[in-house]
Amino acid sequence: MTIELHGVTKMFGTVRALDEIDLALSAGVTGLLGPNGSGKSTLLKLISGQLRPDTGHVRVEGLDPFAEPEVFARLGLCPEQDKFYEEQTGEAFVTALTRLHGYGAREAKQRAHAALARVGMAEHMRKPIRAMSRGMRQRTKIAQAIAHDPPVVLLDEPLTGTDPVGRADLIALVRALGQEGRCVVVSSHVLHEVEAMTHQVVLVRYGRGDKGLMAAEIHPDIGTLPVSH
Amino acid sequence: MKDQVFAVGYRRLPGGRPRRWAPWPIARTALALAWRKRSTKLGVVLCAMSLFGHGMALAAQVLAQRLAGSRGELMEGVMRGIVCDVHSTLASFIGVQMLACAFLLAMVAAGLVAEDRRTGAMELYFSRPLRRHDYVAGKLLAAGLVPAATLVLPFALLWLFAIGMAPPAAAGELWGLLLPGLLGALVAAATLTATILGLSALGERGRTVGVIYVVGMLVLTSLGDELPDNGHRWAGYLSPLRNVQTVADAALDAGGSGLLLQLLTSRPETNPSLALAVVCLLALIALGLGVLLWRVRTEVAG
Repeated sequence: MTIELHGVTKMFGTVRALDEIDLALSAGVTGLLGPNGSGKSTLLKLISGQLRPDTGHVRVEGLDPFAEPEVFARLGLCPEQDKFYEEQTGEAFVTALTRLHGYGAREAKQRAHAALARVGMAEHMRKPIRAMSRGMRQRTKIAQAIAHDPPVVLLDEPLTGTDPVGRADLIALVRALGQEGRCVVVSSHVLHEVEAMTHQVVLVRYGRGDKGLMAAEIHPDIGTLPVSH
Repeated sequence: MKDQVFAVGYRRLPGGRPRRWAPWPIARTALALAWRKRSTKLGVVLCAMSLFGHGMALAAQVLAQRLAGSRGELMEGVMRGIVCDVHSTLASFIGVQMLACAFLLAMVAAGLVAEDRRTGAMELYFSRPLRRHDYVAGKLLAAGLVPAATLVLPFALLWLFAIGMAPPAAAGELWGLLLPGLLGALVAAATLTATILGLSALGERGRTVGVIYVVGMLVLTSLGDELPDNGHRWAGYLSPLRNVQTVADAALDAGGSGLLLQLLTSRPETNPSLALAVVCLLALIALGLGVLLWRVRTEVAG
């Protein structure tokens, strides 16, 4: 399994954000679905090593993301927060972050260009981030997550603020990333967004995860849908 | 609708990538962003004006003394004039440039950690194969390059300029000014770098941190200059500039030749105890670095 969580609990003071989560994810797109405050972002932060679990353990490709930063060479994170260095251009932003993976300036720039082109930002990559729309920022964030070609991609609310056309493009991109054999985890609180990307869903409620639910189980109106995972 | 999986398992890229030094891209990004600000350019202009002014003064003083020598005045008087003028100009340069550099650092480095905390950029940095010490080294490099480029390097250039123009007899004595001056410039650079980053790690807005830093430096320098004249000698240790001058002056006494020390008729005002001045500077540097390391540790520890 690419991502494994065993008995993971995370407390913030007296609030139990995640409670004894067991999860194992492999290649393909997995949706993290749940209402606001249910623990989706906490779960992604645990997988991406931003937080240390209070109990249990997290493994990404067999490594502990909190203790072994080497795992980040094989992991791309698109965080939920939307504030960056506003004066930087999209190109400079993605290039600078890609260089932190150990690439030289030229290769990092080439990878940044390729990633930005892939998310449909080739024309706007030289715009300063402050001049970008919310959808462009989301695309730029996704570009920095995939520029180093990671096998694990974590996307926290990637469709927030995007227009319908942009949303369709990003959904197609997420599906394509999953079809390439990457393990893609997408969090959202909007069911129809998740079901457009995948039918493998982890429902997070009150800090507990129910894995293996199909979209049809969550949304009875959908009917029976074939699920390949 | 059906999910179609075309490939299962991820194909690893052949071969390993060379590991490059991570702090440099961090520093480069910070400096590139700082250069976009008009206030940074103003700070650079201030530093350049100070350098230019001191360079012109140095050239005028040395040339005037050489002219006096060509009129047949005694060589000892000419030498004394050149060495004294160069010494006082270089000492004044370190003092003025330290304040100009503090202003420039407030523009460039005040937001280095503060803005990362405010914007959440740390989350992006630490989702890379980056360790805490890489991040700290990157920020130290970005901040440290500013005093290195505006204080240490220009000092060396001014000294080279002076020694190139001075007659051979005076040039021999000017060699004794290099190491004390460089030591002073390096200590000043380390103090400025550590304090700005420590303050930046405490704040959340670069502009606020910058204003506090510049005002704090000016107040401490003024207190350190004025209060000792009114009988409060301890107050001199409050001024980082005065402590730096104390260290440089002690190095001059320790390493300068007897003739050089005889030629120097005026010395900058310094604190009475070298040990206490060194302790004050080290405490300031340690405090800045300590706060920076503590903050990064708490931010990243989760």
